[in-house]
Amino acid sequence: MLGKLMKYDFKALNHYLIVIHAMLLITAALGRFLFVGRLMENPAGLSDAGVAATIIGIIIYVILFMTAVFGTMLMIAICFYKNLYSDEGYLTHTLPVTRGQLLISKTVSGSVWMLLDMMMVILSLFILVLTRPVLDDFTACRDELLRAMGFPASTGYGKILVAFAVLFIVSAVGNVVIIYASIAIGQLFSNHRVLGAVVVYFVINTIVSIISSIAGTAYSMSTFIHAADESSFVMMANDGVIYQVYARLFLFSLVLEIILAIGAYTVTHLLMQKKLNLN
Amino acid sequence: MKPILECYGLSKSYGNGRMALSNLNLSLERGQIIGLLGPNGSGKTTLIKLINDLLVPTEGYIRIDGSTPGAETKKIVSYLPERTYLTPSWKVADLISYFEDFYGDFQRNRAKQMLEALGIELHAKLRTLSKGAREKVQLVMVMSRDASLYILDEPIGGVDPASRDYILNTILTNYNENATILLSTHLISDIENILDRVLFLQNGQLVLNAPVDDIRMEQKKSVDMLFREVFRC
Repeated sequence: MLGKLMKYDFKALNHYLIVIHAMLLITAALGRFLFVGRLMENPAGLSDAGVAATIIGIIIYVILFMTAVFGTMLMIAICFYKNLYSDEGYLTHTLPVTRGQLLISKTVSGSVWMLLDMMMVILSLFILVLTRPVLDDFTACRDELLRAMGFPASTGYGKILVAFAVLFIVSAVGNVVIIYASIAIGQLFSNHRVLGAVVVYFVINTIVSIISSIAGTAYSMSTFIHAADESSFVMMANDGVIYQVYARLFLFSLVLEIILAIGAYTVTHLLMQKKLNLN
Repeated sequence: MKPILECYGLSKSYGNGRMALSNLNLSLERGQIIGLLGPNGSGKTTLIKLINDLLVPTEGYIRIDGSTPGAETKKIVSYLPERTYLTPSWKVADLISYFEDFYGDFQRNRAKQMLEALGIELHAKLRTLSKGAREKVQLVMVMSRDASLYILDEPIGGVDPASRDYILNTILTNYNENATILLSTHLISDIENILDRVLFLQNGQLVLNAPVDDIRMEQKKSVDMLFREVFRC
């Protein structure tokens, strides 16, 4: 039954999201060949019309970029709400499946699309700007860039890929279950269900960012203060120890996100079990 | 054989202090068509939602074929809600596949025959159908299952009298003798000829649970007349 639920949940999301992301990738490819490629070959050779066209092209790409990012979140939220809490819920909730199966299916389909969205958005950026000169610059400053991102210098690409994969998967699933929890909690405001969901979503995100910035600041300050006892701050940065601070901060926010996701999933499941009340 | 539906001390409050259902006890045998009747706000829809696991009781419990409402009972309960639950962008044929995917007791051919008789095209998009046609599609889906318990909330409310006859006929011809139909409606005179038993609900309590024949024989009244007497404003 879970497989069948997923089939229909993916079907509901695929429709719009494939179109939006295809448009994003096509625009990025067009932008690369029509504007970026030419600009790289001959930066001074653009006419006024060419400049105007480039600017319009960039604006279209940015609009599509935003549409893809926010559209994906919005579609995932709308599908969850419509399928479970609008009139459609009368059918969904009387299918011979458990509430847990309904939630797993929605979480998998939503997270997969959230992940696909991140990958497509990054891919579109690569298509647009990853030209030979950019690639050469990247290779030249590879170690510095890695350090800035919190990796030890000369980390292999495999490890970097794994780190990003974990980060992306956790944040995709985390974001999706927080959207779902917000909608489920929003249902408790029986006269303002949608508004309730939106408010709950922003409240959760605000609280989370406050907690992580307080914890992050406290942690990095304490690290630096301890470090200052032994050696100077500048030396520490030069020694390349700073990446460890980033790495720990990264781990901390990862753990925070995992805990939050488990909490949000549990709350959503409980509310679906105990507090369902369709209009 | 266990009764198809049992309710013990069933109560539901929505948290506003008022009891939508209060201490309801009920046992329904198989093989009957039962009318669930009562004025607006008497608790009919609350009872129906509780049976379908769309609400959780505040107190008491329900057993359907001996089980608490959940995934297992939904396999044998076929429910027609008052609301239109159709996805507008789907075709009628998509809905048939959906029912076939999830309900093991769904009979595709029966659905197709009924839709054909009602003049509803399989490739029509649900959003292009009239409100009445959409209600008919839902009823056809629900009656195309070989369920043990059919729960029909206002099945003839939004359709014209000619279609009403077809629908009632559909209900009568499509359920087997061991199945039970629990049917809620305001249009009592239209359906009372098909009912075996009626339940009257008032302010969340069961005020009458009697076979229709008894009402006719003993009280010499139609169900419609009795309803008007009991619930006189």
